[in-house]
Amino acid sequence: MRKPLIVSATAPEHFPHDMAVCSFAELGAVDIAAVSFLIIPLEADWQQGYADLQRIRRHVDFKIYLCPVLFLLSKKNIPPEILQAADGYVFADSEQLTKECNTWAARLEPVNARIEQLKILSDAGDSSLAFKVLRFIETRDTEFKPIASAREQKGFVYPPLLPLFPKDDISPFQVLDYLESQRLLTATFVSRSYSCTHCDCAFLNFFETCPDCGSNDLRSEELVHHFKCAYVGELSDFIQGEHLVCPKCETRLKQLGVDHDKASVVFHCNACSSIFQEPKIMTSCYNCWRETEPENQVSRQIQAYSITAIGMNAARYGMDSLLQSILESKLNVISHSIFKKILKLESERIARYKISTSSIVIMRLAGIETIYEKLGRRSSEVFNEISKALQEQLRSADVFSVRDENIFLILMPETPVQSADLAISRLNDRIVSLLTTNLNIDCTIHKTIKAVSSDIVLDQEIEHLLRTNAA
Amino acid sequence: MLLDSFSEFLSDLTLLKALAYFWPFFLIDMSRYLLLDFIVLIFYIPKRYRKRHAYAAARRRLFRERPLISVIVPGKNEGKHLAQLARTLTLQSYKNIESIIVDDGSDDETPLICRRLLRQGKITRFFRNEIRGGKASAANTALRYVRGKYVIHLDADSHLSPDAIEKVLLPFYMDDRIGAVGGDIRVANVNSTLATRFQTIEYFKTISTGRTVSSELGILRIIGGAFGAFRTDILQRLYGWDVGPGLDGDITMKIRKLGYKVVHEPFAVCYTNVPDSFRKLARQRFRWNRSLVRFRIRKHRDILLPSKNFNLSNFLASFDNIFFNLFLNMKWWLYLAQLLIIDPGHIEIIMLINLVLYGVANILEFGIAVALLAGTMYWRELALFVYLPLIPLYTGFYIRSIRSLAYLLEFVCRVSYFDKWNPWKVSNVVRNLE
Ligand SMILES: [Zn+2]
Ligand SMILES: [Zn+2]
Ligand SMILES: [Zn+2]
Repeated sequence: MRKPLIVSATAPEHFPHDMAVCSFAELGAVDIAAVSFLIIPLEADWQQGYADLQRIRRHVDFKIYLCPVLFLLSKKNIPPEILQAADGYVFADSEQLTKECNTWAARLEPVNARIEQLKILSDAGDSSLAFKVLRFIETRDTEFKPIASAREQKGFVYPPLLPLFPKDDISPFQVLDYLESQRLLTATFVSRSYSCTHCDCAFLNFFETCPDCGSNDLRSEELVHHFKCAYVGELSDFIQGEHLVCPKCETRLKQLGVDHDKASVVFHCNACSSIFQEPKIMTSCYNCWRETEPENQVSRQIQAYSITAIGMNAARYGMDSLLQSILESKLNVISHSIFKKILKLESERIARYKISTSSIVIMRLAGIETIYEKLGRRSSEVFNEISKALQEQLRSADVFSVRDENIFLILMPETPVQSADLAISRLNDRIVSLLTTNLNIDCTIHKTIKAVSSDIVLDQEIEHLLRTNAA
Repeated sequence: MLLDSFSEFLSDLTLLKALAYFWPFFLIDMSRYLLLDFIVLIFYIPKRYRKRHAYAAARRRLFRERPLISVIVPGKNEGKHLAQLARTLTLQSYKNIESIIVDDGSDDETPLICRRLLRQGKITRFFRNEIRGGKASAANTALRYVRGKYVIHLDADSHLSPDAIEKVLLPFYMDDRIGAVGGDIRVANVNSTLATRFQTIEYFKTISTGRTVSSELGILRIIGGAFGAFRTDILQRLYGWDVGPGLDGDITMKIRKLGYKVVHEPFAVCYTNVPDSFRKLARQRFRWNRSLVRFRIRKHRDILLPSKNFNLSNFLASFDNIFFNLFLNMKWWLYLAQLLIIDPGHIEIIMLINLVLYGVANILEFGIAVALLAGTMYWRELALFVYLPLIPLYTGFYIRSIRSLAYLLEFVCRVSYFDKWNPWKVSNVVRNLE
């Protein structure tokens, strides 16, 4: 039987005493398989508790980041998008806290069962954000609906997904859009919203401006038409004390629609005294304060997402990376284990004959995630370009493998390090210029080029490359 | 046979007899129109020539002062004409113009066209009344926002010759008692159909010559809405136009009543599209003629009655109009009755002689128009002289029948108050009022 586990640096004031407590740092050592759900105390100052939730969701071990989390509340006025970020919540002062926890444990059992079915795909854990989101959605098995929120710059937020996202510059919208484009998720329409074309902020102020000078200091007047004498003037022309009296025929107006009507509205600009009927509608962004015509703002469809059958499968057994599948279709990509064997054979051959050098190249395309996060469905075009570049730089004798969708391993037989370096530099330049210059995507290529020798342990080299460039 | 009795009829004819048989022609049409036009223009044409220096001085004053002129164009579903109108405004020799278009509840693409012209800066202001209020209210909407010293009212389906605005303004700079100036209206679609050719000739006679003569005599009774210039202060004092139809004649009368002069300027030329079928023409004239009864006789009957505000030329302007249009329209039926009773045997001969007489009169009238307007007439207009012999049939039978029917219906049933010209709500209010 799984048990709840409280995650807190200090034991909360009110909590069932039979419940275990551990700090976030100790979480890695806990047997998570015995945990039904994690409890995070949410004090009146909810930031700390929310930060704990974020640390859990940003973990790379799926057993931790997918683990159900409940908030333990001591106060009631927590913003809804914070409250909904967890799988649920219980009140600290509840007399039946233990009973409620048991109910939650039963309710979350299917989630835990689905987490158990997931495969460990890499020793390093799940690093792809899109994959983490997919797995999260799969294990919850529910539709993820956005809620409107004034706290969130984009206006809409998917509260349970938000803690998964480490930085502000990658939006859940793009990741979800990408997953939908891969048919891993299906979307249903919820709403449509405008957001700032400069900063993506959804908080736009719509206002009327003068078409001549752009001022929004406008006065509007209703035009009144007196049927009897055909006089047309502004409502203020007719006001005489408490009555409306026609200035032309000096008759008192009786009833709207019977002896007069309001034909239209006229605007006066107080800044330039221009007169017009159709003010220019402008929007200004509450975030960056830039003014833009409404038609130039971004109109975005707000959707609810749920997992598809393919998505479910991909979540359990690994999501073929789009780049990897494109590379595999264009290049002769061999598996990581075979690559290791070939590398071993090559290093033995070189050690025995000592007459030639071969090079091993480890390349990491940092920022590849931002490609599909920024481009969504259009990523495949870029990936096609990258694989074309690889195709043209590699020779037929080169051995090529991909790991974790962004680490390329190339064995170049009979190639001195300098020549390999030259070839890889060209490849490097081409990919960087494609991404940075053309698409403005910040992308750097980290690489290690070494002569093949029996000293080389591939995994250590990869680890070293990742570690030195992590900061 | 016919020829024999014809010569016999002619040889029998004494002066008195001729008068008895052809009194409508000799006593009325020849004297009021042909002779009067001839006499007046004999004085007018040389006078105009003598005043050429005064005109030049007025022109210098106009261009030195360079007042803003507000061109207002009210209309419904007229969008398709507006681009050309806006273009002729930009081609004017007088440049300080603001143009105000009022869309009176169009249900076609007019608002889209107007908004585009506004964006392109080809018109100054655009107002749209979502609910149609009638032509007067549309013109008054524009009047509420004019900034110019003079207002020029144009119909959307007309366009101006390049010096039209300059020319129509000159009279204001020659005489400060002038409150409104009518521009000359000519036919744009001259050679479309027979109906438009007849109307071209008719317009030369009734508008170009007719209004110039009336203006000289001080009895001009209408400043046409197609092209009329007004002093803004006077329009504002009157709070603009009253409910139509016939609002042009109505406002002209009101300006006269304020003691201002109204004149016609034959050299300020505006071209307008006229109905291109006799059916459409009949509908248009039907509407025009009914308004005579309504405005001259019902609304402005005070002019005809002696009072302390009595003014002879205002009286004559209205009387001339009522007498020569309304009453003399009846004379034809009297004349016809007379012939049938007294001398039914000679009716074909008498009719034939009438046709010849009126044919000759028309040729002379056309000659007068040419003498007056020569410099501003086109060859396509001059070439129409071949149609002149047919004009008596057009004016004598076609136009006269429509007029008679219109007067009859208006007197008996007050149909104009049910006119589609105005939205029903306006007609309703006005009908209960008068
Ligand atoms: Zn009134
Ligand atoms: Zn302004
Ligand atoms: Zn912004």
